[in-house]
Amino acid sequence: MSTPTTRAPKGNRDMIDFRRVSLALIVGGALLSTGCAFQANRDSAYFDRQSGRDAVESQLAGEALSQRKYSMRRVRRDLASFRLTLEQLQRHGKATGITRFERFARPYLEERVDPLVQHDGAVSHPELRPFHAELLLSKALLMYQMGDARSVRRTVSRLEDEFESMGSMLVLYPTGEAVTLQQSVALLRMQTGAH
Amino acid sequence: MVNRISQRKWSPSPNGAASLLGAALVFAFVSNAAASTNRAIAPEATWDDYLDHAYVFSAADVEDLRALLDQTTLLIGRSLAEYRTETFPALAARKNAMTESQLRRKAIAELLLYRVGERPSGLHDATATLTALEDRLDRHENRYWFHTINAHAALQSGDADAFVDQVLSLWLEVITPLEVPFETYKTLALTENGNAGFVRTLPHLYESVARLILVQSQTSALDGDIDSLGAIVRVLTDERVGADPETIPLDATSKAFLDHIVARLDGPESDGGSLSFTLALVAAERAHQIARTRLAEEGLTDSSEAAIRDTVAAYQRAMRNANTLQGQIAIYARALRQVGEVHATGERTGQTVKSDIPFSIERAIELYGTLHAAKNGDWERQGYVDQGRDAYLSAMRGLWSEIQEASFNAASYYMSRRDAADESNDEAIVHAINHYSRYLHAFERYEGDPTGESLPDSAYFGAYMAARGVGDGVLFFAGGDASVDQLEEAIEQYSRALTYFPFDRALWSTLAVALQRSGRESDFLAVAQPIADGVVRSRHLDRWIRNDAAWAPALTSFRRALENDRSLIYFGFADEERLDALESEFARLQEERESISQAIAATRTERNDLDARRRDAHRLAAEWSGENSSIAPPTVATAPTEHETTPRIEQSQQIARLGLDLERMSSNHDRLDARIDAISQSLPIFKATLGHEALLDELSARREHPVHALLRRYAEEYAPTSPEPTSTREAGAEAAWRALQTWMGGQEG
Repeated sequence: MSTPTTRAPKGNRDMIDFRRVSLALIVGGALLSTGCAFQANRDSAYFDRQSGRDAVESQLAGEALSQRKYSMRRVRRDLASFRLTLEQLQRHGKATGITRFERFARPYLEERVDPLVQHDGAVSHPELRPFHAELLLSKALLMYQMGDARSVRRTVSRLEDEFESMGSMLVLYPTGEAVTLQQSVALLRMQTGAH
Repeated sequence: MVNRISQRKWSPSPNGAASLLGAALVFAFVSNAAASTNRAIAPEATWDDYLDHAYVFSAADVEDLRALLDQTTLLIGRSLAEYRTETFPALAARKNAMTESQLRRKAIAELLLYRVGERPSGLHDATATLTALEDRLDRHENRYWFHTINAHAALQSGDADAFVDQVLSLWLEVITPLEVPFETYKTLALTENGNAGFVRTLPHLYESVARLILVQSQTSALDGDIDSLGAIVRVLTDERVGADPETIPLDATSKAFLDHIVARLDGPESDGGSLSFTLALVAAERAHQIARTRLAEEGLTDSSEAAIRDTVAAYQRAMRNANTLQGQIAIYARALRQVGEVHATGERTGQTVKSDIPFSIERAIELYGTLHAAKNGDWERQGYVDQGRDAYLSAMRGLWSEIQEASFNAASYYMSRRDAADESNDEAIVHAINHYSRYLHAFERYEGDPTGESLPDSAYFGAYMAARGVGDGVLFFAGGDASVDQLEEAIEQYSRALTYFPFDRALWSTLAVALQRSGRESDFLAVAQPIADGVVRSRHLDRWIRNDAAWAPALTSFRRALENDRSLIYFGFADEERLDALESEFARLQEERESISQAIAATRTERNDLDARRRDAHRLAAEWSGENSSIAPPTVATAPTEHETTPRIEQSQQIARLGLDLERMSSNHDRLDARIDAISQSLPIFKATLGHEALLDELSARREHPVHALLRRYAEEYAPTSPEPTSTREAGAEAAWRALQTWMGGQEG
C-alpha cells in the first residue's frame, strides 16, 4: 500500500508487493463490498436478534451440516498450528511465551473446540463423526503439550466411550497419517503415555 | 476498478448513499479530479461515517493513511484534527455523557492522528478515552478497538509481551466469536447485507491483525519475543487473509507477504520457527536492499553509510532474536554479503571504506566450524530438526560461499589501495594477504572431506584464487622489491594455485617470472611439469572431455598444451602480447632455412662443377701424356695445358673449402629444421589455449558453474588418500603464516 522506498530484496519482492498496492484497492473494495456502509440500523443486526450460533445453524438445514464440517476441518488445522507453535516455544525454552500462549489456547479450546465436540446430536451424524474424533485427538495432543495429563486421559476416555463401536473408522491423526480410530487411540496413548 | 466503482456509485441500491460515499472515498484517493467531482455529490459525508468504518483503513501504512486523511479532509471540508477539536470537547461539555459510538469515534480519531504523526499524544488520549468504554467491551466492535489501540500502545512502549497479549486477546475475544456467524452469513450471502453488523467486517479484521503483526511490529522496531503469535500468523494464511476477494481484492491484501513469512518460518533459513526472528530478518533484508541500492547508485556516501548502519542495526536486532545456530547462520550469510558489497564498492569507486560492520569473517568461520562439528548427528539440535539434513548441509555450504566472496572482495579492495604517491600500499597489501591466507587456512582445515558435503564445489576455485592472491601480494609487497624468501613464498603459492586450477595460462607465466626473479628460470620445467602431469593424467578431466561437458574444447586445448614440454615452456615464457613477433620470428626462421637450402644447393653445384673440371683436366692430361696408350710411370709430372686456368692445387683447396661450407650449412639447416619443427608443433597448441579467459571470469562470478564440480573432483583425485591429521596440517599452515609475518616485518592485518 505504501510507496516503496526501495526495491525488495531478491526473493522477497512478492512479500512486500502488497504494500505497494494502491490503498484505493483495499479501501474501495472493502467499503463497496460491505455494501451496508453507513447504514443506520447497525444495532439491530441479524445476529444481535438471535439467541446464538446454534439457533442460526438450526435454521440452515443441510447448510448447517456443511458449515459444521467446514468449521471442524479448519479448527483442526488451527490446532495443528497451535501445536507447532507451542512445540517451537518449548524447544527454545521460552517460558514466558509458553505461559502467554497457554493462557490463550485453553480458553480457545473451551470456546471454539468444545462446542464442536459436545456429546450431542452432532456426533450421531455419520458425516461428522470422523471430524469429531479428529478434533478430540487434536485437542488431546495440545493438552498433552500443555502438560495437562488429566485432560488427555479424559479425552482418551471420551474417544473410547463415544466411538466404541467405530474403531475401524478412518481418521486423520493430528500428525497427518490416515489411520483407523482404534489405531489413533493407541497412537495417542503411546505418544502421551495416557493409560 | 474505477469503472466498477463508477458503476456502483450510481446504482440505485438500498445502500446507495453508503456506496456513494465509499466510492467517493476511493475516488478521492485515486485522483484529485475525481475527488472534486465527488465533492459535489457527497455533501453528507462526515468524519463520523469514516470513523465508523475505520477498520477498513486504520491498519494502512502511514503514508497511505496520511494521503487518505488528506483527501478526505478535502472532501469533508475540515481535517480530522479539526473535527476532533470541534466535536468532542463540545460533546463532553454537555450534560449527558458521550454515547458509546461517540467515545469509540473519539478513540479511533486519536489513534489515526497518532499514526499519521499529527498528534503525538493521540495514543495516550485514545487509551484514556477507551477507559470510558470498558463497561461496553461485550460489544465486539468496542473490544476490537480496545485491543487494537492497546496493541499500538504496547508497540509504542516497545513492550513485546503486552503486544502479544493484546493480539492474542483480540483473536480470542473478537475474531474467534465472529468466525462461525461470519461463515453462516457467507453461506447465506448475507455478508453484503446491511444488517450483518460487525460480523461482516471479519475479512478486514483478519487483514488488520496480519498488518499489525507483520508490518506495524516491524516499523515500530519492536525488539522482543513475539513467537507466540506464530500460531496466529499460521492460521491467518488458512482461508482467512485473501480468502474474500470480493471484500478485499487479493492484490490489496497482505496474503503474499503472509505466505512468504510462513514459508520462511518453515524454510531452511528459519530459526526453529521463530516469528520474531523471521520478521526481524525480513526487515533487515529490506534495509539491506536500500543500502545495496545506494551503494550501487551513489558509492560510499554519507547516505549509503547511514543505510549500512541501519542494516547492521537490523541484522543485530535479528541476531538478538536468534535462538539457534540456524538463525545465526542465516544472518551471517547476509551480513557477509554486505561486507563484500561495501568493499567491492570501495574498489570500484576508489573510495576508502570507513563502515564498521561488526559481522566479521573470523566469527563466520567459527560458526562454520560449529556447524561442521555437528555433522555427525548434532545438526538437529542446531535448529535444522524440522527442515532436515539437506537444509543443514545447504546452509553450511552457503555460509562458506559467503565467507569466500566476502574474503575475496575485501582482499581485492585492499590490493587496489594506493598511497598518496599512487604507489601500492604495504599495509593494505598485508590486509589483503591476511584475507587470502585466512581463507586458505580454513580451506585446508575442511577440504578432503570424503563425503564432499562440507564445502561447496566453488571452494576449490576459491583456494586457487586465495593462493594466487597471496603470491601476488608477496610480489607486490615493498614496492615489488621481493627478497629471496618472498620470492620462494610466491613461487610456492603460485604452484599451489595452479594445482587447484591449472587452466589460468597467465599464472604459468607469472610463475616463470617469479622463478626468473629468483634466478631459477631453469627450474621452470621441474616446477611446472608435475602440475602439468596432473592435468594429463586426470581421469576426471578425461571423462569430462569425452562427455563433451562444459568448456570441453578449451580444456582439451589446455591438456594438449600441458602434455607437451615445448608448449609448457611457451606457457611460462611466451609473451602473449607479442605473439605476432613470435610468428614473425617463425617466418624469419623459415626464410633463413630456405636461404640456407638455396646456399647449400649453389655450393653443391659449384663444388660439382669444380669436380667435373678437375676430372676433365685429369682426362686431358692423361691423353696428352699417352697415359691412355702406355702405362706411364706414376711420378711423371705433366706440364700444365692451356685448358688449365687454375692451378690444380688451388682447385683442390677450393673444393675442400666448399665441402666445409656445405657441412656447416647443412648443420645450420638441421638446427633450423629442428627449431621450425618444434615451433610449428608447439605454437598452434599454445595458440589454441588463447582466448579462453572467459572461463576464469565465469568461475569467479558463478558459484554454480558446472566446471566447479570438475575442479573439485580434479583436486580430490590428487588429494592424499589418508589426509594428514588436521592438527599437523594446521601447524604447517601456522608455521608458513608465521614465516610470512616475519619477513613482512611483523605487520598484522
